[in-house]
Amino acid sequence: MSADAQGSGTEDVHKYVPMYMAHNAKTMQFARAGLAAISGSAAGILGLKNLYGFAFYAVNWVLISFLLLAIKTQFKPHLFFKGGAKDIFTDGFIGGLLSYILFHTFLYGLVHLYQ
Amino acid sequence: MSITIGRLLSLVGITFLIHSAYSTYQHLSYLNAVDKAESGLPIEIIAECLISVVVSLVGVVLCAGDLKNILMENEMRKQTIDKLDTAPSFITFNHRGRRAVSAHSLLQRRSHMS
Repeated sequence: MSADAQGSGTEDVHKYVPMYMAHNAKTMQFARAGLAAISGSAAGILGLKNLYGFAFYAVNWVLISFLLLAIKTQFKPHLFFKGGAKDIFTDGFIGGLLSYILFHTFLYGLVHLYQ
Repeated sequence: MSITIGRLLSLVGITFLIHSAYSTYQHLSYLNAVDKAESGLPIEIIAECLISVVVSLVGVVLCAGDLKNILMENEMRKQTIDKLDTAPSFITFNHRGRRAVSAHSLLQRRSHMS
């Protein structure tokens, strides 16, 4: 079993370029950080509370994932990510959510609380 | 080119986002001043906020650098066999270069003497 796992690992090294995989992950992370900052600020400005805020994040997440799929990969995600479109739509969802809450708190406090 | 457009779009979007934040602040302080207990923002501010979010998200996506093809076969297509399959054992020292160098130095010596 361990030999099997090792075999698939070495196959990956021969199938994909690790340097470019890291580069693509970094590019994705940049876009997701931008999403968290911008949509978190917008949610704070609009004063969204409890489930509406999470729903707003989910909508924006789907929007930016679709934009990345359309603009960056031209609908060919398997050329740029090991897992294909699944990697674009699922990677870093929770990490982005934490930054989103941070920015939401900041802008909500600035606009709605300190009158 | 797309990076410049992306920077411009995200700058415009963030500017309008800040403007909508200020508008919200002003609206809320107006409601406070006239003692109205009204909840909900005017539709103009909400529309401005949402449109600026979409614009700046498109800007951010354009701003991020291009992705690179991760498939090894695509990378290998750009390489030559001499670059990939090189090893010290393939180096040949026993070739006509030695003769050429000695002939060259001989000629040089002759031209110096004359």
